[in-house]
Parts: sequence; structure tokens; C-alpha cells
Amino acid sequence: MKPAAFEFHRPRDVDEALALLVRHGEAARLIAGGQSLVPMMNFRLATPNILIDLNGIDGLAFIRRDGDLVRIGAATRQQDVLESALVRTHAPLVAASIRHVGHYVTRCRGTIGGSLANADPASELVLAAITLGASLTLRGAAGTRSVAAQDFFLDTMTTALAPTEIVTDVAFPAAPEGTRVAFREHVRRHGDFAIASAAVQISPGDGRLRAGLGAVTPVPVACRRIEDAFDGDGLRADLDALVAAEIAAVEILADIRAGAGHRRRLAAVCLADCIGELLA
Amino acid sequence: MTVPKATSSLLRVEDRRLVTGRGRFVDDVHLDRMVNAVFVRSPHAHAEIVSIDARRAKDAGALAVLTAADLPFAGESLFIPRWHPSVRKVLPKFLATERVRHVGEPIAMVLAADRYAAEDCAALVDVEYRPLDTISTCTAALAHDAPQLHGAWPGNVAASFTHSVGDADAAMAAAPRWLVRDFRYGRQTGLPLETRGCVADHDSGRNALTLWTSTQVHYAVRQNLAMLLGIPEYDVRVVAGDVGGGFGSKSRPYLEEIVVAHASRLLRRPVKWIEDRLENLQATTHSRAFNTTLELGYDADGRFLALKGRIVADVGAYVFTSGIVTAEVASSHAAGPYKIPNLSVEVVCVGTNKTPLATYRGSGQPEAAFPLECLIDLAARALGLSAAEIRARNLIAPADLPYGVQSSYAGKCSIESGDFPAMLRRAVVGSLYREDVETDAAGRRVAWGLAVGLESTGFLNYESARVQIDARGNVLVFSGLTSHGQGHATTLARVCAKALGVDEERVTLRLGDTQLLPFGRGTFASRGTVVGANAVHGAATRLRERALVYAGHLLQSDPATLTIAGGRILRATGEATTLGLGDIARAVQPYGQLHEGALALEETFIFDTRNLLTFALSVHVAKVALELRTGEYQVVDYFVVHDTGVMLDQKIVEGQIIGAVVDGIGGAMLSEILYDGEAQLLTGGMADYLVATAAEAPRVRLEHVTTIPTTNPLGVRGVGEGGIIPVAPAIINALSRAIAPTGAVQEQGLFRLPLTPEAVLAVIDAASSQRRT
Repeated sequence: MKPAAFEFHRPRDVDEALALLVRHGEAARLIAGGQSLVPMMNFRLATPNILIDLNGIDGLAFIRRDGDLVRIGAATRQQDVLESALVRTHAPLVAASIRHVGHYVTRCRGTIGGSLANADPASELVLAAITLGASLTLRGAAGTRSVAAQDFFLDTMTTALAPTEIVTDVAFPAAPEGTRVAFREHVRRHGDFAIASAAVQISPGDGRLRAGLGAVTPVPVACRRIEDAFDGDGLRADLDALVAAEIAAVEILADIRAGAGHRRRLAAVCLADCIGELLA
Repeated sequence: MTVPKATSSLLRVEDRRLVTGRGRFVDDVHLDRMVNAVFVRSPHAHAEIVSIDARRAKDAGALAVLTAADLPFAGESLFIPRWHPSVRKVLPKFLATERVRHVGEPIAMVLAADRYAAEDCAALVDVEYRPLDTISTCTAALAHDAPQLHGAWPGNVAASFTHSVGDADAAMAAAPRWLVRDFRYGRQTGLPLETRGCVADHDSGRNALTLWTSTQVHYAVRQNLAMLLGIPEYDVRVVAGDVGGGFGSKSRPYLEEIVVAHASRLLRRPVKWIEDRLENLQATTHSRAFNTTLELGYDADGRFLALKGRIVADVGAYVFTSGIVTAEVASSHAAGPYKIPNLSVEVVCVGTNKTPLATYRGSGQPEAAFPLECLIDLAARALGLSAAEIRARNLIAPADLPYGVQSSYAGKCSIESGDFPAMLRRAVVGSLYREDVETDAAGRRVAWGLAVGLESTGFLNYESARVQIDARGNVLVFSGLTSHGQGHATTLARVCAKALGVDEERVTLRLGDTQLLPFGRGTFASRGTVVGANAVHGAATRLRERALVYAGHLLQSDPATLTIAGGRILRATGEATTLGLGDIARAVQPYGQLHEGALALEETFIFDTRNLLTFALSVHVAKVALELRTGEYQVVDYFVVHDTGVMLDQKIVEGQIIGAVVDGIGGAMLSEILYDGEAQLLTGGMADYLVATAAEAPRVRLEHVTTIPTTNPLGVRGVGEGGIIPVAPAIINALSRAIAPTGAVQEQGLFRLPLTPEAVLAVIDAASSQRRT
């Protein structure tokens, strides 16, 4: 369980990193926290010839208010996001979700950008990004573009990130005053990959409910039926029926952690529980 | 014998070293000119090996690539200490030829300058396979058209036998009531934190070998190395320094140790091999993997009349050196701590394309307790008795002692001491066990479950020890045991200090090295205290007597009027003398005034137990909270009443029990080695093979009951495994009650380990649809 040989680069800025990506193409992989890539390399499931370490780049790790957005630098450690007062106040769903990401030790290394770019179906951060309608900033040699979360995540471990692009930050809409959030997931053990997860946010300011389901589909899904049924105060239809409709609309994953039938049940429970918690 | 007050160390002697990174494990051994080895292992569950071509690996810089053709001992096999006579012998080859029969079976060994290069080269060894049909389950193996694993295993049956006492058929037929259920115990493994590994250093000039290895049985490894490599045993030194856990998975010599040693001889360089976690899950022996059908016959008063069982064990692709010991133990102890006059257990060991089966903490006893303790709860419900009452009516009571136990692996033994009914009562009272079901603040059903486990401890008779005193009065203890977490450095030093009359701080333990003592066995089967500590006790007691005789000479006094305390010789009156043990040691040594030819003041003792087993009972109570919508459950409280005999160190005893309970909770809820339909391993890492961690551990409350066994002078019972034996049935009995507080439940779905929330939910669904109709 030792990785194959690779060439290691530690660029000083994003431009230098991009130049390396352009030069080496598919042979290169970016590394930040390494919490997914390093095990893959040790199993030799990933054998990049070139490793571009983003940890030497200043300015990729930050958390700041940017107008009506909360902008978080891609190389920000997950634990720093969790401990940020700004995130807790203005992006409470991100704080609630990140609590479930791995363990203290892995969160101290793992980055928010790494977790998003990895696009694991069970990722709590991907679920939060989709539920909140976050946008990701991608920098390439040709320039910078902003991509909405629902356009960024394409499939299991597959994103719209081009081989010569780098995620530099992610921006979440700042939560209006009085926002309340709920995040629940079902796991075999705390810190394991989720079997089913749900995230819900209700903001009295804009009168909106946002809801998402994670870990049961290749890409977490926003629950539009429930969101549309919210009248600023309650749901215009029966909660259980709405939840059932959301779940019936998607193809459910199955693996050794849980079969599709069980996942469907758990998804319904955690989604209904999140909404129930906020509407109680 | 009165019960001595238990001592509890605040800190174990070994821990400062171990928790500050100053342990010396196998991977800490770095020798000049050392090279690294990697095994090429089969990715196929079942295939013919058409060819092995190492040219590309050698071109890439491999120092050597060994296959079976390079092993002069390829035609021989590891030494088999004892096998059940019904075993049809098929041992794995050191390196496979012609055919591979499980994923992870070693085929070749690649040697390179470092581990990275060795893995690079291993990937370049071209093995051509012709895949064969695979057997991924026992059912498939027993099908009439199943592929055959071995010519010597017709029908893929590796062994079969029946263990019986009395006439179970007749008694069952006559029993007014009976219950029969199927129980599935999934495949699990010991999963030590430190994987296996070894460093071999062959001295070609002297044809002598030193092997550092992560093992529980260094003497057995020495025996095999000597035999297979043709080196005299006295020129083979096996060192098991610090060992990071074993749990039974290191209690046998392995093929890799022999091949690594041979490679060192061949290359004339030290060779290191460290197993990685994937290999550990593929190639270190697995355990459990029993399907058991158990039938209990009883009368209207709940008295057990007959027990009939059938165990189908999925033993994997070969019978390894431990034989089928878990099946032997499970059938021998099928009746647990209960009086069941008629017993019959049929065992069928079935071959599949999986890793061979061997021992893991409890070694057959958790496998036996799980079906029995679940079935007993069903019988209690059927009769309207409490779980405690039905057990009380059947437990072996003090009046029944000594109670004979016939086992295939240890012969005729007896339960000669203990008060099982009293322990049961204390468990009920102490735990606050109750049989009604509550609902907690989160809406979960909360119920209690109870189960009893009988641990047979101290298996394998002999252990050796030597105690030596230096001229400064320091005491050195040599033991034939190994240590992999048991705290021997603390416990054995205390045993020696007490017997000899010195302060514990003056005693140092050395073990895990065959050069220390000519003979020993190691640490497994809860034998460390029962056999190992008694050997130390014997040596220290003899040494004390000898020291007093010498003291008598030096003080011109009758030895009977002298005693030893704090390392000083005192008169029986308590009056101090000028003599300390160091003075006596100096007098005995060469040039000393009492020198008679001895090199030092020392004694060696071999402890040999006549009663091969010392039994230890434990009663477990689990409080479990169940979420009815998801099947998720949590152990929220846990209570254990345990009889360990004399506690040599209370904290270490409690650590063993609590650790085993947590191990058992993982085994009940989480852990399973999974294979797919092609016998491909699905759980190749710790993201998939789940074990309990601190977050899953409930509060574990303990109550100690002490009765003194007569099997050994220290009056101790083993404690390594009792904590795991009844955990799963205690949890399942609680869940069964939580699902159906009043009525019967379609509980068959609960009788599978690990018990996933998914499986529990299916039972909840069935129970609720039953209620509706």
C-alpha cells in the first residue's frame, strides 16, 4: 500500500499551478488535503505522474462575507469552516453539514474545495452546496468562470471542472436573518459515509424553504416539490406525501452499506425529520 | 483460600513507553543491507495458474522474485500440532502452484531495495490465470454440481463430526416442548491495529536465523522455521517484541514467515515484510462464519432436556494450522453453563473460495452462545417465564460441582468452582434489568436483554518462567508468553514481587524472545494468567525458599524463622537483618561465599495444569434503544457480572472485559468480511470492514464476583475472552423485546450477525403487519 512514483510540484500561485496543469494535462492531479486522493494512491487506484500541491498557494484559504454571499476559499480546511463564527451565522447549513464530515483529524487536513471537487455522492458539503444553490469559482488558463452547483456536479465523482481548471472558491448565499436549518444523516457509525442524508433551510426573510437529499443518488438532489409547496409558513400539502413524491422521482443507489429499499426508507425519514424539526 | 484484595495499578508499567511512540514493533527493526519483500497475491477467487513470468519485474530492478520452484521446502507443510481426526488434510502451499483458491493467496514474493520499489516490481510480475468457477457460499459448495476445491475434499467437505453426550434424539423426541431456529454468524476477523510482519536475518556463515515477527506464538514459529529450513532449533531465534494486538489472528505460524526467512538465506541479506491492511483483510485468517441450526427441548417448567445442533462452518479454501478448533470449541461448549443432559451437535466444515478460518477472540464460544442464549429467551417467552428465571432453573449450581465437561480439543475437564446462580441474581439486581419496554425522549423503544457466557480459559498446559536476582537485588523475570496488549509487564511483575517479597518497582519482565527460555508457548486462549502467571509464581516461590535457605546459612539461623519483605531478609519477629536479596545473590555467584556452581540466584519453573481448562462465567445485560422507523439501534447501557477468580490487577481485568464488550458490540452490529457472488472480497479496507470505535461504546458497568478455582495456585481465571462471548445475544434479546413488547415476534430475521439496521427494519415491518392482520 505505497503509492507509485510521482513528480511533486508546489506552485506559489494559481497561475503557476495552472501552467503545470496545462503542461501535464491528464497526467497531473491537484492535491490539497489529500484525504481522498492519498488513500486512492496508496491502493494504486490513482497513479498520477504529477502531483500539484496547492498548499503553498497563499490566498486560497479564507472565509469572508462578499455582499450577499459567504465566500470560502477552496483550500480552507473543513475544521476551520466548522469553527468559523461567520459561517455559523451566515451559512448555518454549511456549519451543520460539515459537522458530519469524517472526523476531527480528517477535517483538519481535508479542504472544502477538495471535498466538492471529489463529488462523492455521500458528501455532506456537496449536499449543502446543491441545497443552497452555491456557486463555484473555477480558474483556468483562459480565465475565470462561475458555475452553479447544479451545473457543476454531473455524476458520481464527476464534475464540470476541466482538466486544466482549479476550483478557487465556493460562494453560498448568505442566510437571511432568522434562518433556521436542519441537517440529518444516517450512517453505520458517526463519521462514516452517509447512507442517506437531508438538509433543509427555512429563511423567513425571503420566505423560502430549501431542501436537499444526499447519498441516495449519484448527485445529491434539491427537493423542488417540497420547496414549491412552502408558503412561507407551512406546507400546502401533506409532508409525508411530498417526501414520498420526492423520493419516488429519483433512482436510488445500492451498495454494501445499504440496499435501495432501505436507503429509500432512511431518506424519507431524514428528510421528513429535518422539515418536521423546522416546522414544529 | 481467602480472597485477596485486588490491587489496581494507576498506570501500567508498559504504557508510558507505548503511548509516547517508544515501542519497538517489527517495523521499527532496521538492519544494515535490509531489503523489502512484497507478495504477489491472487486477484482471482479460483483459477489455474498457467504461467508466472517475472522477467519484467527483474528488468525493473527486483533483486529476486521467488516462486514455489525456489523453495526447497515447497513440498512440505507447516507443522500441525493437533487436528481433529476428521479433518481431511489440505494445507495451503507456501507459494501457490497450479491453482489458487482464494483472493489474496500468495503466488510469488518480490524483493527490492524498499517497499515502494517492491510494489512497483510486484505489479510487473505477469501471472497468467485461467479462471475457474467459484464457490462463494456453503450452499453453493454443497450443491451436487459444485466445482470441487480439492480432490481430498469430496463434496467440498473438509471435515465433519458429531459431538454428543447422552441420547439427544430420544430426549428430544420425548421433550414436551421444543424450539428450533437458524442462526447466521457472519465472517469476521481479529483486525489487530498492527498487521502481521516480520524481519528475517539469516547468518549464512553460521546457518543461524533471527526472525522478528508480530506473533502470539514465537516458539511455534521457531519450531516451523527450524524444521522447514533445516536449521537446529537452538540456532533459530524468534523475537516477538512489542506486538500491536493479536485477538487470535496471530496465534499460529504463517506461511509468509517461512518464505521471508528463506529469502534472507537466499539473498544473504536481512529481509523485511510488513503486511498492509488490504493483505491483512485478504490473507490473515478469518473467523466466525458459522450457520447454526439449534433445537432446544424443554419441559413445562422450563427445564432443558435436550439440545441438538448442526453447525455448517464456512472454513474457506484450506484448513489452516489451527485446524477446525472454533467448530470443536463451539460444539464442545454448546450447552454453555447449563445442565443439559442430552446433547448432540453435528459439525460440517465446508470449503469455499475464501480465506481460511481460524480463531478470533472467544474462538467458538461466541458462536455457541449466540444461538443458545437467543433460543433460551424464546423458550422463556413461550412459557411466560422471565429470562432470568428460566436460566436460574438450568444453570449449573454449586451443588452440581464438580461438573464434567467433555470436549474434543481438551479432553475431559470439569467445572470445579463458581456460583453461577448467584452471579445471575447479582446481574439482575445490579443492572436494574427489567422486562417491560419504555419509550425514551427521542421516541425510541428501550428494552433490556440478558445473556450468559461461559469462558473456557487457560488452554494449552505448559508455560515456563525464570526468576533471577542480581547482586543489587534487582529481579528479572523471564516468561515464555508474548505480550500484545495484556499488560504482562505490570501483572507478572506483581505476581513475582508478591511471591518473592520485593517491591514491584524492582522487578523487570522480559518475554517474547525464544532466546530467553528454551521452551514456552505464548499468549492466546486466555492463558496468560492461568498458565503464564502461575509459572512466574512457581519460579518466584521456589526462589524465595532457596533464598531463605541461603539466608539461614549466612545468618546462622533457621530459615523457618526468616522472611523476606521489600527485598530484605527479616526475622519472623519483624526485626531487620543486614541481609538483602542482592547480598544473597552475590554470595551465590562465582567467588561468593556460598557459591556451589550456580551462575546466579535464580529458579526456573514450568507450570503444567492437569485440568486443561479453567472456566469463567459472565452474565451480561444490555440496554438497547431502537428507532422503529429505521431499524437503527444503540446500546445505551451495559452491565457485566464476571468471575475472574483472584484479580491480579483490577484495572487490567476491567480493561480486558470492557475492551471485549466493545469488540463484541462491533461484532454484533457492524463487522463482516463480505464477498460477492464471485468470491471477490468487498471489504478490503477499514472504510468497509467496520469495527466499533469509542463513539459506539456505551458505559460499561462491571461487578466482580470472586470464587477461587482449584486449577492453579494463584486462583485465577482467564479474562481475555469472556467479555465478548454473550454480547450479541444480550443485544438481540433486548431488540426482540423492543420490537414486540408483549407478543411473539417473527424473530428469525434477528438471528444474523452482524445485525444491520436494514435487517432489523425487516423484522419490525413483519411485526407490524402481523399486528395489523
